Amino acid sequence: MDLEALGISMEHQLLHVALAFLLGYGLGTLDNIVRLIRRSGTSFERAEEERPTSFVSNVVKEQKQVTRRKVEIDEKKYVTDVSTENLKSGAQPLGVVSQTNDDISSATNKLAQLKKLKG
Amino acid sequence: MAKGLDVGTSFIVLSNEGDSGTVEYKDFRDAFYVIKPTTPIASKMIEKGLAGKTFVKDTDGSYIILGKDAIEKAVERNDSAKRPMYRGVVSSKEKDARRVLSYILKEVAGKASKKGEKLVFCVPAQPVDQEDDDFDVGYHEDVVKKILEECGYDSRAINEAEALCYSELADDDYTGVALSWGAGMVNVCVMLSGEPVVKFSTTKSGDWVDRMAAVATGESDSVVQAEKEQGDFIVAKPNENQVLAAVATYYDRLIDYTTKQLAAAMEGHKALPNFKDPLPVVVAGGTTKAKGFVAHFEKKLSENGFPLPVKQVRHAADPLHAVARGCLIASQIL
Repeated sequence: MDLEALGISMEHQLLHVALAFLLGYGLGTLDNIVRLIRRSGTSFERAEEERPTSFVSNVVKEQKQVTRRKVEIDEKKYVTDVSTENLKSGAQPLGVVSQTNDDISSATNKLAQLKKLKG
Repeated sequence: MAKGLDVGTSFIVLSNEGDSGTVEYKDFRDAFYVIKPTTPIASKMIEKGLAGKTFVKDTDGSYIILGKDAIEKAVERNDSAKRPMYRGVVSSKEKDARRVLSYILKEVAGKASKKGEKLVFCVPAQPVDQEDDDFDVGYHEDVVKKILEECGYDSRAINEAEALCYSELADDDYTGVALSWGAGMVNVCVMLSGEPVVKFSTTKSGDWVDRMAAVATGESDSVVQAEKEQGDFIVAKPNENQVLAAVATYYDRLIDYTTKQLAAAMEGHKALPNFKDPLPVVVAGGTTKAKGFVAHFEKKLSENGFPLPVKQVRHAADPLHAVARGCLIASQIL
């Protein structure tokens, strides 16, 4: 469109462009100032949380957390008292007893010597 | 006085020194079967029927039948008995497992003769054919330790196949290979001059044979187990009895599988020393009692490329008590 034909001179056109640029710059600066004011007084972690991160880095973070949780479960394993007080025995004793002629003292002495040599 | 204890999937065996040159064993079948009566009359009838059997009564009124009586009762009802242990460790499949195992261990081991009496019990090694996440020896060890502590023992755990080495390799300067074929697992230990250098396990053994034969014939595991233990069959040979024929076939597959795993696990193992002389290989455990087992195992060991020189393959003198005997020997010196 020929703007000069509409009565708008070249100087006016340049002035409009310059004003639009200055307005944009001004708004940008104002936005930065507002953000700085908001961040002041909050912790570093909060600022870290607010910082935009990529989708890929979020996935990696989640995977790391899953692995850590698994280790925690393993560490929580413990043995509590195993109560058998409520079980009332029947008449029969448990186990069949047998006896064999077997002198284990020579085997024990030999093994003890070997262990002693190994220190 | 110290004691040894074989905490097995199928049997719990306590060993202690008797009078002048004897060893005393106390065996108990590691199984239970729960019957829950629906009415007070049924409860009385069940209790009458259990006369002479080994059982305990629970607070909810149910009867927990223990040991071989549990298997007999399960077979009678065309059902399978439960086990407090599965594949060498306390079972996570059975909710009563820890309580029942605790009761059996307390009854079989009894109270320590004095506070802090030494007791060595056996635990399985980490399997080479199963992921670490699916197998936990540490928890099992802690459970057994806690139970024995309550009985007043100062207990210590050693590997099952290591115990077998202590029992059977005295005449070989404690150098050789031992395989403990239990119900749940096969434990392997290579020993050099009394020191275990390689220890591992595989997760298929007697129970696997029972399970597969049960699937093949449509019988329950307990029925197959009972037939297997009483029946007359030879490993890898045909049999007229359908159940025993399946058992013989799966024995062949089990031995083939285990010898292949053995060869694969030992080939190029960093901890394995260069043995100058051929080694004795000792096998023990209830699974090895089948006819033709040792000969078939020796054949498969050679066929599947076992990487160590073998002097002989031999059966333990007392296959069911050898591990408990090894634990007893260990309890005297460890």
